[in-house]
Amino acid sequence: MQNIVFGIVTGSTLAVATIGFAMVYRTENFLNIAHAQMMALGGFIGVVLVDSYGWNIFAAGAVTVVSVGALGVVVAAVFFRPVRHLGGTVLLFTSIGVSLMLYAVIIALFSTQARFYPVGFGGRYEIAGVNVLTADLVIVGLAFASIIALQVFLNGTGLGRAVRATASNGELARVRGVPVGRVSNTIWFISSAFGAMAGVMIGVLSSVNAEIGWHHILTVLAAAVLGGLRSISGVIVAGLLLGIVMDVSVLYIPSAYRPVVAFGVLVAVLVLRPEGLLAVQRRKEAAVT
Amino acid sequence: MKRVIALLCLFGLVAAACGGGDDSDEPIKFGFLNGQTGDYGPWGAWALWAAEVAVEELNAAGGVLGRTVELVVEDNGSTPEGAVSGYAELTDVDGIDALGGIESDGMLAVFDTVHEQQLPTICSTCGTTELDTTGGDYVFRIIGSDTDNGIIGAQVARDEGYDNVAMLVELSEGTISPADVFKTVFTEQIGGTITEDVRFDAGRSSYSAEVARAFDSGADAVYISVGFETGVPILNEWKRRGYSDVPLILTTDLLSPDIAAVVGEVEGASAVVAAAAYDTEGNPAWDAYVPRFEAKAGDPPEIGFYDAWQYDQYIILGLAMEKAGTTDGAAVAAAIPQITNPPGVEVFTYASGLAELQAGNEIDYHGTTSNMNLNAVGNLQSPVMAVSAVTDGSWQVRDYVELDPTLEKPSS
Repeated sequence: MQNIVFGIVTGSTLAVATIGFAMVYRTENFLNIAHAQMMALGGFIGVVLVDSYGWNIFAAGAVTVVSVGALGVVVAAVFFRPVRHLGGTVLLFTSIGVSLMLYAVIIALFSTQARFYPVGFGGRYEIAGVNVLTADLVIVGLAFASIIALQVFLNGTGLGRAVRATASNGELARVRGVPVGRVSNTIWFISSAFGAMAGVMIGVLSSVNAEIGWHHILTVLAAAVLGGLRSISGVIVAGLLLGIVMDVSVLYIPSAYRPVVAFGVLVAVLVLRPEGLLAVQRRKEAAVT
Repeated sequence: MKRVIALLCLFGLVAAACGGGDDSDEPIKFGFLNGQTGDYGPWGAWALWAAEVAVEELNAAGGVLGRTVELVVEDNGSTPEGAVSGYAELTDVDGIDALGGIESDGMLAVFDTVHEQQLPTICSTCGTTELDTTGGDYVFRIIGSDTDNGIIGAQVARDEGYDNVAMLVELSEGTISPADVFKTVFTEQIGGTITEDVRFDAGRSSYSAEVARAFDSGADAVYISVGFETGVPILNEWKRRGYSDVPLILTTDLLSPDIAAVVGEVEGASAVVAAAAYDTEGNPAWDAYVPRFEAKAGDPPEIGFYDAWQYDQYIILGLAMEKAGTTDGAAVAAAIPQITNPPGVEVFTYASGLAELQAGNEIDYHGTTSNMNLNAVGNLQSPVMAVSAVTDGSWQVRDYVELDPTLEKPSS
């Protein structure tokens, strides 16, 4: 049970990281490898604000999320939008190039030195023999609050519905007068903001270094594919499932094989259910949109 | 045609005559290939300050072979890849004459190239067991081996009365190497039990599961062999989850002030590191080094920063070059054990060693950290070992200890 709690915490972080990745795929139709560097950037900006300037972690997190979200809009406008008409393959390779550029910027600004968030959130509780920290509750709570907020935005606002319409059929949305430019900016903002939030969460749980983007991109990709790249709900379930499977697997097999477990699950799902875990849910979503 | 050939020959002779002394005014270049960032970053500044103190001492004494010495610095990012690219920069671009500063992973990455290029190299902070049998030609190690560190760790576990120990080990050369020795000696020679041996890659978003598996295994103590960047989140997890009643046996990579600060925040926590230490009592080399280092760094040398070994290596390289009378790699490498081992006049500084050499005497350099006597494979014969513990938020030497001769190096 203890490891399931660990897995929920890990999975919540993974779900937050993956949502932004999946949103860009859903609307822009390419795998944005540079998304992971937004995580690293978020982690570093947050730790600098907290550790170097003494900011409160929540204030630092909010500023980080907004600033990296804005940067995502700029990156999209400068690098991705001009080549969007060339198709997914060009966009994929552009994202690899952008990823390397952002990685270089991160090293130039923050060095390769690891940084640590000097926050612990204090409390520790023993619930039915399970050790739960306030930090666990904060991270899971924030993850779910932000996911719920995203769902409310997508389902309950005009702009959100425009995002869903664009995701479902961009060309039709354009013809029907959906402001695709504004929608695209919104998607890039949300995607990068979620990436930054994941970076801060990882930093609080562990540490931040220039490599965290590269360390996590494959797991994010696995969660996205496992959840079905076009399903937000699937991505959330996949993130949690992968987190739990990886952390519970430590009890039974050497910890070094944890990533292998994640990709073993991914391969098994791809073989048995190629459209992802929540294919039915995805079809329902498609029907609604 | 004959005139042209004669002219060319004349030019050739002149060039050759000038070429004999073409390097004489050029500085001798000592490479410093070190993790200024990355896992070894916390030690980086101290290592560099110590190296600079050594080079300043060489130059203050008139240089080496009458030439000034230049320290050429390359950051390897604490990675083997960084070591390979940094080594190429130092040798191909900068043209260094000798190398120091490198750590275990990087040393192994460039080991073959060092031999191919016959570059005298001193590994001041390499613990890797790979060097237990492979050095002595061009690579020399002036700090204790991970074999020593693994044995002394097991010895301390035994002496502290721990029968059951869990292990947390990061999967890298520098961390696996002492852990494997520890495990073998503790189980096979001491008769202890390893309750869990948890090995994992660095770069996780969380180490909760790994920490819980080790600390919930009913161990009397947990042996942690990880790099600094992994050590901080692991010890934060140890602190947050309330495992502080379980004593920690840490390895040398965690002998840092940041780690001491984390441990020091937890009331009643116990953490020890058993590792190579400085030879501070009645050692003129140490006495001469301390004020110079303090003047540069603003702080006195500290065991947790390994600075003194960085200093010793360049004094050795300078004396060896003087002994060899040339910068030729093979000759300098051959001279290294000649100036570190008896017989000879025991010297404690570069200036005194230089004076003895110029007087035609053999010398035996005694460094800041210990005598520098090397065995046939270029390893330090008798490193000074100590148990350090966290006291008032910093590492303090608790006891100087000697390796128990009944505990033997495991056969690989």
